[in-house]
Amino acid sequence: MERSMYMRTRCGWTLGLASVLLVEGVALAQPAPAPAGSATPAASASEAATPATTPSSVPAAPTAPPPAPAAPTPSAAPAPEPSPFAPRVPPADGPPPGASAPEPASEPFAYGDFTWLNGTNRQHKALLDSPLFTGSLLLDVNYTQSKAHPIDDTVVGSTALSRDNELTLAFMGFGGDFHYEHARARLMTQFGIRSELVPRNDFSSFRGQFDLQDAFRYLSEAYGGYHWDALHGINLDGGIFMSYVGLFSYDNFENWMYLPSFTSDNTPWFFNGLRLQVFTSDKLKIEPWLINGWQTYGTFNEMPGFGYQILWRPVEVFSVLSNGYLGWDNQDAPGQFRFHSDNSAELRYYQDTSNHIFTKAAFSITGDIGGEQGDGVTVFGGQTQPQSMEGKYTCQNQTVSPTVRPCDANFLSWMIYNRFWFFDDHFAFTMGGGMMHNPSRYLVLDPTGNASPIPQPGSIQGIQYIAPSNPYWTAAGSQFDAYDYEAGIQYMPVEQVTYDLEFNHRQASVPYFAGHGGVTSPDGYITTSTPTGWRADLTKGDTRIIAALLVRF
Amino acid sequence: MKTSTFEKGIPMLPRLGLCLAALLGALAVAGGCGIYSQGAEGDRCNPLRSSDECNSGLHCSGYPIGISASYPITYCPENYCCPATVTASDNPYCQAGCNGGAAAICAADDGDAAACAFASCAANAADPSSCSLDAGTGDDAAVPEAGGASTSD
Repeated sequence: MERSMYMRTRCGWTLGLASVLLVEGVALAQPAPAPAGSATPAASASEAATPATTPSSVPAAPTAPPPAPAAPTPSAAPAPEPSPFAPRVPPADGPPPGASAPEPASEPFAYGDFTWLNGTNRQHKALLDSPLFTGSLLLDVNYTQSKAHPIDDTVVGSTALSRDNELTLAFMGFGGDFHYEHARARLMTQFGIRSELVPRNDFSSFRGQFDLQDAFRYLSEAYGGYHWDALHGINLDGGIFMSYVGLFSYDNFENWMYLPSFTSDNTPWFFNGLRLQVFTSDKLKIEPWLINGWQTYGTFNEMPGFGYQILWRPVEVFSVLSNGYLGWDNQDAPGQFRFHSDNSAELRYYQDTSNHIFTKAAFSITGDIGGEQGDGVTVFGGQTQPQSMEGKYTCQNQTVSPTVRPCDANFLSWMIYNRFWFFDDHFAFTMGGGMMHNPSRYLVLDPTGNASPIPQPGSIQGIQYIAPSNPYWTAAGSQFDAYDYEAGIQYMPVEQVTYDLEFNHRQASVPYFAGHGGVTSPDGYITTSTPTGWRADLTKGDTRIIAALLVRF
Repeated sequence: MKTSTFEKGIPMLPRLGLCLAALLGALAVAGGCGIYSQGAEGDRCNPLRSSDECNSGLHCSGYPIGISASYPITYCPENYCCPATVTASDNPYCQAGCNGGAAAICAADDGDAAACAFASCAANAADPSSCSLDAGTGDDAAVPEAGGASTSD
């Protein structure tokens, strides 16, 4: 049995790496890289469509295309600045007269202006650009007012929001893209509350030593790789890179709303591993991943995670994004695999740049389906139970009785958003919402404090860990359904600044959000003793007003 | 050269002022006018605040610390806005055991026989108020210690 597991483990990693090498081998068979100083078109192509590595383009969104030329469309957007990777004038010692130079491959997604997309940078040029480095600075400050007004100023259930009634530096990061000939790398640091909010959801870091959360929490992106001039560009990168599962970008500057719906908020923001970006044309990207797990720094069990992204933009007004994942992401459950399929479409159904009042309109729709199978759970057809049944039922592979049988573990969700742009795109109004269904709660963002299912820091210094008084129930077979709706306006005086103001309501089928009593202690401070049996105050609904200031260079 | 009617119509500084005014106005509405309404009977409260945050006629009651020391509720590990006399309320959080509080104490400390007995009685009795409090008092539960679990769904 152990030998079988060992072999399977080795096979998982070996097959994954072999796949990468196979594709790499094909790429290596392509013509050699161009000489220094004359980056080829293909290079720019791949770079362009790479999230945030785009020198010319807007550093940023992994799915973000390069700045679109204004010419092809009636867009009022200014033409992009030339990219350091863009095709250049052939050198003097180029092809002899009469010989036809090879046609450079067109740059992926550069034929149109895709800055209208949700989850994509709206900027048309990178201000901090240079031949070797394109710098980037992101700043995200928010203010949240929850109707519950928790006494510990802590809100629950999001990776975008954390504190109530306080100005919060949610994210501050600086870094950029390094690019020389065919070598490439991206570094983006991460300071602010999100360096706590996001890593805390990774339980793989509790396996073993060396504190993976502390080691990586201040890096939102850190990868390097190589670019090949094959097809319309091929990149192989290794490190921590962004995930676009759930459409929205990790960088709130790129999003239509500050607080995304559950479909995005509860799905990964990053992956740790290898990715291969293959641009088969200037309209299609195929990107397989070999990663440690589902938004994890480390690996659960023995197998790695596998995934892919397919991005197709056949015309400027339409974009399709599909992500898939298969992995083994639960502690001590090597026989339990997780799959996930995330699919989005965006359509810009109106644009009139001659109309300076109402300029654009677009919508996005996203649907996810996923589940877990094995080691006591099944995707569909199993049992779910309320918490009052805790300890009175058993999840196991074989059905013995109504309360001794597999438990349901699936994730079904959708979200839809519509956005109108006004006054030459300086203002935008967005409304939307969605739903999620997640029995076994494997993608529910756990409440924190004394409602956390895992030990929390017991002192201000965080040097002691104590068991929470009221851990959130996340057992297999537990029930969870939720929905949300929201509306907001954004004021964008320049391409580098966004003011955001929005209203949001979330509702769950079970107590989940922070109520007025909070999740910390009788007066909300962690320095105050918690009475025996003290219960965190969780409620089924939360209404919030959110204001945010977003700056990006 | 942009030709925005918006930009032509509203110069930069006033536009910035408008934006800030709108933002501040929204914050004022959110914070000052209070989008939240707390302090009703059965709502959670902070017993260590310098002033009682409960609505008129109610007091922060329950676990006996701070303000609540004068308004204890037996077998209640949290604090809720309740009338001074628990018998004046039908709200389960203002009754002895505060709607599962005794069970939470018992789950966290199964050595507290009185709380466990009361929790067992309250769970099975048609009228939880008929359960005897003789086996213990709320002060028995006032041991500042963490641990255990309770239900919340």
